[in-house]
Amino acid sequence: MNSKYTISMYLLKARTFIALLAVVLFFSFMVDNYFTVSNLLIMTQHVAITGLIAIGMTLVILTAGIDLSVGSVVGLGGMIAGLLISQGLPVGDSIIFFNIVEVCLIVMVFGGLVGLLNGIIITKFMVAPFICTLGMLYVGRGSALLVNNGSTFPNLTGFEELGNTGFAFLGSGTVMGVYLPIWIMVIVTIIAVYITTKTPLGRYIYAIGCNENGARLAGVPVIKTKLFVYIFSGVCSAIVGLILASQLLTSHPMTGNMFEMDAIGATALGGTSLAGGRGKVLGSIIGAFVIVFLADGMVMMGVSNFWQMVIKGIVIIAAVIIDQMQENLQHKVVLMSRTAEANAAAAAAK
Amino acid sequence: MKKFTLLALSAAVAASLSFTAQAASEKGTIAIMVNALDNPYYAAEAAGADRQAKALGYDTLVLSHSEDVKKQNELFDNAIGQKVKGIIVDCADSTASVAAVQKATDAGIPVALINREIVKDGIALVQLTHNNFQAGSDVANRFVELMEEEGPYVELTCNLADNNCVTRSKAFHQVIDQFPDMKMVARQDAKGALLDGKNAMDSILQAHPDLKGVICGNGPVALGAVASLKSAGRDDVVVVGIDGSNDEMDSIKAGDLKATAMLQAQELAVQGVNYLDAYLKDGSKPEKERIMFRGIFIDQTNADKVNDFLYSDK
Repeated sequence: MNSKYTISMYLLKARTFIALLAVVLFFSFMVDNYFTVSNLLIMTQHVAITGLIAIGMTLVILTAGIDLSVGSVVGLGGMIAGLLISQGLPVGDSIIFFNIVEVCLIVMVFGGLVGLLNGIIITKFMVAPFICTLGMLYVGRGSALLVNNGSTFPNLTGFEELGNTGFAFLGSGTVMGVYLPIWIMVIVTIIAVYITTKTPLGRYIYAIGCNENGARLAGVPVIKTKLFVYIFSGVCSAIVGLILASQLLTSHPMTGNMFEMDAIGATALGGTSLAGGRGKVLGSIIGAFVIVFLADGMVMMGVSNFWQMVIKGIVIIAAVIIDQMQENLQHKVVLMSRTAEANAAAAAAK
Repeated sequence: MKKFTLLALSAAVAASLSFTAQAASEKGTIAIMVNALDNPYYAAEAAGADRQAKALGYDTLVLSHSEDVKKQNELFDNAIGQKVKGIIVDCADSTASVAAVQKATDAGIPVALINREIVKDGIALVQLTHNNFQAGSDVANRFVELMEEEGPYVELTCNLADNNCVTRSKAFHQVIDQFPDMKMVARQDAKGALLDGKNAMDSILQAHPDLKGVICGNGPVALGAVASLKSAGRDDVVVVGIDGSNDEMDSIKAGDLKATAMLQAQELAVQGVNYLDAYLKDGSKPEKERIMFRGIFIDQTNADKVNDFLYSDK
């Protein structure tokens, strides 16, 4: 009896991974060329976009917060990169052009500053994260549209004489045969996994999500920790903005619209509780894999875009239902093992 | 603190009052409503109407309804409340916008519709649209020519919830389906957007590496497809689209996008304003309510004659 529960509990725990396997298996049989190295690489490159945002989102959600501004930061970050590459930064009478590495650093710092602003408003002015980042969603999107008055920055190839060429490498370049965005996702994932599992900061993040007051009383630096997660999320979004602008060689102000929803979907799919305190970064990455592999598979199969939206929604809801089932089952197993222990103890006492 | 707030508030009110007082001109205001100001097509439409209205001595109010019928309705209410002289609108939906146009007409405000029609006759002053069918046919003809009348191809539609997009797709197939050796191996809606166009193309290219051509329902989607093919190193695939933005012109000049049809967004908007002006002057109405403008076929030979959806042969 007990072992039966344990097995189903393990299956439920690995559900995101099983869902991913199911998606891959299904489309491998249904679509030619789905399970090929080049397609898996292309799809993983798409995963990197959702995945990177989902990593930042996971840390925020673990503290029982939420960051709705990520999509806007993607758009704004891309626009700033476009501005710096194609028009430079006017300072006084002269215009400064940065090389590509500097442009990327500036945009990442900018993303971090937006996150810092979110964090300050949430912690110092006690605004609920949902409201604060919802406001920032509008501010960010509006600012992205303002940068070039609603227009795009096309042809971001840079100028040879200004030394700012090579932007395309970030989004479409390969290192050891693997696209650079995938490497970036791997690196950021390792950093986030290390932070959440091996450092005091990681413990603080979970502690705040479980019980903020308790954490504060126990001496957890709540404000600093929260500032950190929003900054981290902002930087992740800015990186995605850079990658997308690089892939398209164009920055479009509406880029990243609704990305927050995909990121939240991936996070929920990966088993992170929106109430905070429970979940894993790796789970969210697998969640992002499921969402993107499913979407790309449907495109390759020729499923209508309208159906794709319906199916994506159903998958996310189903994932959370299964998540609840696992919660219940886990409680049950814990209770059962306790009763068994108590019974054994009572028997021994007799 | 309170005093300061009060002072600031009254200053703001005074400033806004003086602003409106200053802005009011004798001929009154024309409200210009388009779908979104971040899309080059709609921006050009708004710019054309804005320039012409100002040239004719009107004030303008440029608004965007974001393809949202509810928001469009509110904007119409605002415009009516503000007693604008005329409304020029690229409407949010061909059936759901009828009531809003009726409301304005009932209030004595003439409405000129541009780009998208409404299903009812006799309400709007004039309905100016692009001949999407002709534009689609022109592009499809060149597409077939470039494909040498055979081979696997892909259609990326722009947004099948939009009538114009459906018409373009029908026009494509009217032409292409006459050639039995042209095989459509995939058809996908890319929501009219650059990134969706690229992502869809990435996946389709994996499923059908043998494809020879991509025909796209609008400009951003075509540019997305071009970006995808470029990063895959496939310069052998023919890409054509419809729209005619400056970004597309750059791509055509570079030889990446092979052809497009430029929709005369500015011309449409300018004529719309002219019809409003004539009606406001002496109540004269155009002979026909529905007027179509042809799309201008563009390839490398004439791409440099286009600027912001305005074709000039000089």
